[in-house]
Amino acid sequence: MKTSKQLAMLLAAVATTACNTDLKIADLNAPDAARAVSNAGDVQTLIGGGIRLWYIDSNNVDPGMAMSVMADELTSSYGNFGMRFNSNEPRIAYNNSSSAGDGAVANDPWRFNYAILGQADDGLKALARGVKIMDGSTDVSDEYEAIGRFLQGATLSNIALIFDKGFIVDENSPIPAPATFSPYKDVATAALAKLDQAIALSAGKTWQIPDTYFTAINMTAANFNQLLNTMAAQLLAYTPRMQSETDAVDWARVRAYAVKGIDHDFAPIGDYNNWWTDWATYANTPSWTRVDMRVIHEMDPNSPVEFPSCATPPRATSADARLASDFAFQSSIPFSSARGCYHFSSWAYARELPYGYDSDAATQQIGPYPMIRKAENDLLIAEADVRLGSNLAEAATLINNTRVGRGNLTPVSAGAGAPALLAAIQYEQSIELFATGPGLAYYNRRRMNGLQPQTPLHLPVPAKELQTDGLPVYTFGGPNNPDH
Amino acid sequence: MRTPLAYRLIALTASLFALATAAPVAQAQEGATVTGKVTNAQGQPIAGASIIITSLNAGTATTVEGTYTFRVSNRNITGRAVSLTARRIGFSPVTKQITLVSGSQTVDFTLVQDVTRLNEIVTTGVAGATSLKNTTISITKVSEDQIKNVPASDPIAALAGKVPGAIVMSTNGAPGQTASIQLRGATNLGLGNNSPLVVIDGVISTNGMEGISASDIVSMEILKGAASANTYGSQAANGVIAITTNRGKSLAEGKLAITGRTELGTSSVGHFIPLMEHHPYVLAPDGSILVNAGGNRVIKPDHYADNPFPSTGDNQFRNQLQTWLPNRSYESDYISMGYRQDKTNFFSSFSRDVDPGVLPIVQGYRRQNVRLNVDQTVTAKFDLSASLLYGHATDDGSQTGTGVFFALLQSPPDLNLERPNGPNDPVRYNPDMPKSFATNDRGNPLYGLANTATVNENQRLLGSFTARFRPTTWLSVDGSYGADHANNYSTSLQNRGYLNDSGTPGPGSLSASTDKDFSTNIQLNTTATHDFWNLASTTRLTYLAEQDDYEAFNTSGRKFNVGGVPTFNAMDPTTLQSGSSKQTIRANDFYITQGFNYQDRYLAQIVGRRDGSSLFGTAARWKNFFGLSGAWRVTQDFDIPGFQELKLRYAVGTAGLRPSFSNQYETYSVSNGTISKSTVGNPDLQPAVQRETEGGINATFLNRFDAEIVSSERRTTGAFLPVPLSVALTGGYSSQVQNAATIAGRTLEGSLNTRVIQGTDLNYNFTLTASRTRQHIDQLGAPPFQVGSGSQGQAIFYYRQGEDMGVIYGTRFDTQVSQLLDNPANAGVSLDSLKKVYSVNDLGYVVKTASIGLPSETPVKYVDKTGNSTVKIMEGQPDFVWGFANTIHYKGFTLYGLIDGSKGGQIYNFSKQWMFQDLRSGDIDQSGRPQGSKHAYDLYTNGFYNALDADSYFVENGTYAKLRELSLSYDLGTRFISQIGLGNTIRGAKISLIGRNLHTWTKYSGMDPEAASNGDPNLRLDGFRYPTFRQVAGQIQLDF
Repeated sequence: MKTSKQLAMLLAAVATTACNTDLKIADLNAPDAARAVSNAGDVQTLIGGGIRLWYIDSNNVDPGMAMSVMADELTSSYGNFGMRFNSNEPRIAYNNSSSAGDGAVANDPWRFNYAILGQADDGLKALARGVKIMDGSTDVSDEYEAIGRFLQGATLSNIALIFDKGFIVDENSPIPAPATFSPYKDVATAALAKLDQAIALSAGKTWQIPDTYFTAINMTAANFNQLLNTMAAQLLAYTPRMQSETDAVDWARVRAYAVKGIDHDFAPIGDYNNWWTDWATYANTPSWTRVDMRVIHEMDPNSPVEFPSCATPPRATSADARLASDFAFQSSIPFSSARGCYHFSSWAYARELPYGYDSDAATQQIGPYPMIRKAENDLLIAEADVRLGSNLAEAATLINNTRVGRGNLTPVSAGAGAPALLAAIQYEQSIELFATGPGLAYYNRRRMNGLQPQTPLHLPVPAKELQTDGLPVYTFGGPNNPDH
Repeated sequence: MRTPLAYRLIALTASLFALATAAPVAQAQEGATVTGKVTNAQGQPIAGASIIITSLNAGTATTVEGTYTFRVSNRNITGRAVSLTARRIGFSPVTKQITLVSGSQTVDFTLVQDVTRLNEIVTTGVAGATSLKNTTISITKVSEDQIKNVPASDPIAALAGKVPGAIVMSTNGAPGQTASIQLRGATNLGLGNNSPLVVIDGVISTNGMEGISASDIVSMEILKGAASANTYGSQAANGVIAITTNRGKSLAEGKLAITGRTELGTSSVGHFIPLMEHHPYVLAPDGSILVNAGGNRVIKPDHYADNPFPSTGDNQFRNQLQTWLPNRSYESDYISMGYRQDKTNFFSSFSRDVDPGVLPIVQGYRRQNVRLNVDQTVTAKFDLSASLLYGHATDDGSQTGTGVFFALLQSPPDLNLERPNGPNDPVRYNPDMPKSFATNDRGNPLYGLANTATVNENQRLLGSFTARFRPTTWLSVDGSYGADHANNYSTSLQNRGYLNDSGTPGPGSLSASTDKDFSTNIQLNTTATHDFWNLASTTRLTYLAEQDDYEAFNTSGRKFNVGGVPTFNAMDPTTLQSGSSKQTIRANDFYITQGFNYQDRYLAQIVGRRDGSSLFGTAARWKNFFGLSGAWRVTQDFDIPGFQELKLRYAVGTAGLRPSFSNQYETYSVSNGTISKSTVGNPDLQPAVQRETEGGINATFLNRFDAEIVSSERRTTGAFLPVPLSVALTGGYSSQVQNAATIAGRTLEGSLNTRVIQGTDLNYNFTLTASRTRQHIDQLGAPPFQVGSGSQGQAIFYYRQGEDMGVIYGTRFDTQVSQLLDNPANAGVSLDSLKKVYSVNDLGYVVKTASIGLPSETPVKYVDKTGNSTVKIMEGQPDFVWGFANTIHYKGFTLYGLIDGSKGGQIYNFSKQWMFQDLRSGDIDQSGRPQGSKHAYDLYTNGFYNALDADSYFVENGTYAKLRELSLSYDLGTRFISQIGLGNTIRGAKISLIGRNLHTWTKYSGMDPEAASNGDPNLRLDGFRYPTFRQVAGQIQLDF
C-alpha cells in the first residue's frame, strides 16, 4: 500500500502547487493607457511618435492615389486604392459605402488623422496636467507642446483639405465629443490656429526634434518653424474648392507665411521599415501607374490628352528638358483596353524611380523623398505676388528657378502680365511638383476649376463614421450627385 | 488569492487517500473465479466484450474465442448478490445477478445485436457514466463503427452528416486544415468563434483539433448547447465535443493485438468551373490575336467575346485550372498495438499521412502521430491512467491555397505559365509575364510556389494523467492533470535573386515566426452514489483549475548581404524587423452535478457551476451557470403497442463564452516602438451567456427504428461585439468590445436509425439525420455593420438588429420593369412609359431596350421607395441540412455510403465576381449564343462586376448533396486466412475501396458549394477557397 500512499501524496502535491488561482493578469503586450499618459517617457513617445504616424498616414495610398487620378496626374486601370473607378471617364460618384472595395479612400484619411489627433490631445492633456518631459536636466515640455500643436494643425488641415466637413476637436473637447460637423472652411480655420500656436512655440527656440521622431533630417526649431509656415501657406492656398474661393483667399497672409517657409526641400528619409511614402512609391512604379497623358500634353501640346481609339500616339517631344529627365517613355502598356483606353499612357514618372517598387528592393523606399519641394513654397510666394499684383518681378524670378533652371525653357518676365505668370505657375506646379505632396495636383486643379466635370471636389465623411453616428450616408461626384 | 474551497477539495482528496491507504487490506491468495463464454444469437463467439462487476470494479474482456476468466479477491466475497454485466458495442448489454463464492463458477452470456444505440454509455455532461436510455439531455454519440469505414482526415470531418444539429464544412479544403463545425447555429457576430470546446480523453484541448488524427478515436460525444453543456460553464455555449481514444481495456487478456492499415489513393478536383474560351479582340489573318503598333490588343467594335483563342502554338488556349490542378497521390498508414495482462493494459499507435492536395509543385502536408495510452490497476480501490499523444505536422506551402487560387482562377488562358514568354523563356514560371497577354494579371502563381521555401511545422504534445480512488462502494475520487502543448514554427525563404512581378531580381527575403502555447488543467472530482429506497442519486463535485500561457515571436528581413546562406546572420541588419507577444490566461471553476434516477423511469439532473476567469473584466470576474433537466421513460410505466422505448425529456441551462485576451485592457498599441491608439479596453466585459431550453423525444419502435426529435431554443445574450466608435469623437479609438448583442437560435433536429434487413448473411441499416436552424439577431447595441469575408474580400455580411444571420446587403439588379416604379426618381412615371425605354434582356435583367447587345447595355440597379439602393440580396441560412448514412453487409462484404447536403440558402460567388474583372469567367463567353442575343463584355465587366460591390448577379442557390463517403470492403474472414495457412499469424484481413467527396449534385456554378469564409458556416461566400477535393483510394487492413 506504500505505492498508493505515495501516489496520493504526489497527486495532492501536484494539485496544490500547480494551481495558481490568481485571476488578475496584466497585458504585457501593450502599454497601459493610464500609465502612458502619466509617465513622462511614454508621453514623449506618444507625442513624438505621432510625427511618424502623421508622415506615413498623410502619404498613404488612400486617398493619395485616388486624388492623383481624379486630378489626372497619375493614371491606372487597376482597381486598387480607388484608382480605377475614381478615374472613370465620364466621372462616376465616389462609392461611399462601408462595404465598398474603395471604402479606404475616405475611411483611411478620416480614421488615421483623427487617431493621431486624439493621440496628440492625450499628450497635450498630460502636459497640461503637469507632466514634465526632460532631456537630461532640461525641461523640454515646450518642444513637445509645439509638436502636439503641429500634429493638431496638420491632421485638421488634412481633414479640411480632403473632406467636405469634419469635427473640430482638441484636448479640451469632452469624450465623446458631440457629433457636430463643421464645414471645411471652419475646420481649416481651426487647423490654422493650431499651426499658429506651433509657430509661436517654435519661434526663436534652439531645441532640435530627436532623429528618432523626425527621421534624420536635422529638424531644428528653426527648420520646424519654416515647415509650419509652409504648411500654413499651403492650407490657405489649397483649401478653396473652386476659382471663386481661390480669388477670395487672403493672399497677403499666404505670402506672409510662405516667406518664412522652407528654404530647402522637406524630404524625410525613407528606410523602408519606419519611414516611407507609400503613395509616392506607387507613383514611381511604372508597372502600377503612369503619367496621365494630360500632363504629357501640357509639355507637348501636340500630344493628345488620351490615346486615340486605343492606338499609341506618336512619342511626345518637348522643349521642356524635364520630359527627358523626369519622365520615361514606356513601350508597353500594363492596362487592359477593356477597362477604357483613357487609362493608357506611354509615360512613367522617373524622377525618383529607385524609390519605386519596380526597382531593386535594395533602393525601394530608401533615401530622401521630397514631400514639399522648396519650389512649392516659392511658387506660393510667386502666386501671392501675382494675385496681389505687388511684386511680379519676384514672381518671375521664382518661376524661372525651375522653369529655366531645370526645364531649360524660355524665361518668363514681369512684363508678361499676371495671366501669363499665373499660367506659368500652374505649369510649374504640374510638372516640377509632380508626385510630391499627396493630393497636391488635386488641390491645385480643384482650386482653379481644373478637374474634369462631375469629379468630386472633396470626399464625403466616410459611411462608416456616418453609420456610427446614426447619420445618413451621402456622396459626391458623377451624374447624380453634387460635386461639392 | 487562493480560493479556500479549492484547498478544501484538495485536502478532502488527500485525506481520503490517506484513509484508504491506512486501512489494512488482506492480501487474498484465493478468491472467486468467474469464467464463461460470450456468444451472439447465432452461437458465434464475441471477442472483446467487456465483463464487469461494476460495484467491485472487477472484470475483464473476452478472448478471440469469446471466453473470459477473472478473479475476485476473498474480501469481496460477502455472500451478497452482485451484478455481472457483459457488454459489447453493437450488442445490447446483458446483466446477470450472481453470488460470489470461493472457487470457480461459470456464467455464459448470449448477446443480441442492438437495434439501437440507446444502450451505449455516455460520460460527458452527466454526473456519472449513464446509458443513453437514461440521459436527460441531448448527447449525440458517434462511435468507431460510424467513422472507421472511411477514415476522415480529422475528427471534425468525420462528424459530417452524422450529428443532427451540426453543420460541418471544410471552409478551407487545403490538406491538413481542420473542418469547421457549428452546433445549432452561431453565438457571435464575427468576433470570437463558433467552435465547440474540444475535450480529448478528459483534457480540455486549448488548441482544438490541430494535428489530431481520427484513427484512434473510439467515440465522440457531442453536447450541442447550454441545455446540455452547462457542466462546462463559460466555455461551452458553442457545445462540447468529447473524444475518447482507444485503450487496451477491452483487449483479450494476454494477447498482443496488432493492427496495420495502409491507404493509397489519388486526390483530384471534383468540379472545374467554366472559363473564358473566347475573347473580344480582333484577330490577325493567321487566327492569332492582332496586336497594334503600340503593342496593344484591339477590341472588336461589338465587344462580343466570341473569337476563339488559337488552338495550336505557344499561345493556344489552356484551361489553366485543369492544367495546374493535377491529380496527386496521397498515402495514409496506421499501425496500432495493444496488450492487456492482469492489472496493466496499454494501447499504442502510429499514424502517418502524406497529402499533397491538388496544388502542383509543393510536397504538401505530412503528419505523424504517436499515441500511448496506459491503464494500471494499483489496488482494487486505486487505479491510474495515462494518455499521451505526440503529433508532428509539416507543410511546404500547400496551405498557401487562397493566394494561389486567386491568381490561378484569373490567369490568362493563352499563356503557358511554365514558360510565359515563349518556349525559350529562361525563367521557369516567370513572374514577368508579357503585358499584352497578361493585362491586369495577378502574377504567376507558380513562381512563388516553386521559388519560395516555405516550412510550416506544428508539434502537439497532449497528455493526461488520472488517478482514481474508490475508498468505498459509494464514493470515488479522481484527480487528473492534463497538459496541451502546441508549438508552431513557420519560415519563408526567397533567396537572393528572387524575381519580383517585373522580373527584377531582388535581394531576397527571409521570415520566421514561432509560437508556443502551453495549457494545463487540473481537475478534482468527487462522486458519491447513494440509493434512497428506489431513488438512485449520483453527486459529483468538481474543481477545475486552468492555465494557458502563450508566447509568440517573429522576425523578418528583406535583404541578403550574403547569398546562399538562408540565415538572418547573412542579412542586412537594417532590414530586420522583429515582434513578439505573450499572454497568460487563468480560470478557476467549481461545479456540482446531481443526478437522480427513480427506477429507470423518472430521471433528473441539476448542475450548478461558478467560473472565475482572468478573461472576464475586472468588474465581473465570476459568473454562475446552471442546468436543470428531467426525463420520463414512458414505456417503463405504460405498455405502448409497437414502442419498445419512449422517453420524453426537457432541459434548460446556461453556458458561456469567454472574451479574448486583449478585450478588457485599456491600452495603447505599440508598433515599431511607436505608441498609438486603436481599441479601447472594456473592464466591464463579461462572458456571453447562452440560455437554452430543449425538449426531446426518444423512441424505439417496431423493434427496428430508433428515433430522436429535439427542439431547442436559445438566446446568447451579451454576445461580443466590436462596437464601432467614432475615432473622431472618442479621441482616437475606433472600437470597443462590448457585451452588446443578443443572438437567438431555434433548432429542430432529428435522427432515425434503422435496420432495414437483418439476416444471417445480409444486413442493411441506415441513419438519417436532419436539422433546421434559424438564427436571428434579437438585439444589436451598435449601428448595423458588415463583417469581412476573408482573403481578398470586402466586408459584405450584414449585421443589423432584427435581421437573420448570414445575410448580404448590396445592389439588386431589377428583373422586372415594374420594379423601377419603386425608385423615387421615377415618381409620376407610368409603367407603360418605362416599358418604352426598358425591357428584360434574355439574361433576365432589366436594361435599356435600345442598349441590348451594345457595349452600353447595363443592368438597372433597384432603388426602393425610400431612395435606398443597398438592399438585402442574399440569405445564407439553409432550410435544412441532412445526412444519410447507409451500411450494407453481405457475407464478408460491407458497402457503406454517406450522402449529406444542404437544402436552400444561398451562396455568394465572390470568386466569379473577381473573375469578371479580367474576362476570365465562362459567363462572359458569347461563342455559344446566337448572333442576335450576344452581349458585350461591358455588361459583365462593368455592369454585373459592380466595382466588386456585392450584387444580386453573384448570389446563387446553395442547395447541394454530396456523396461524401463511400466504401466497399471485403473481410477475408478467419476461415479463409486459415485456409491459406496464415491462421497462426493473421487474425483478420480486410481490403477496401474508399472514396471521399466523390460527387456533388448542385446548381452552384463555383468549384464547391461547401463554401464559407472565416470558418463560419453562416458566411456562405466562395472567395478563392481551396476546394474540398475528391479522393479515391484502396485500403488494406491486417490484424495480427
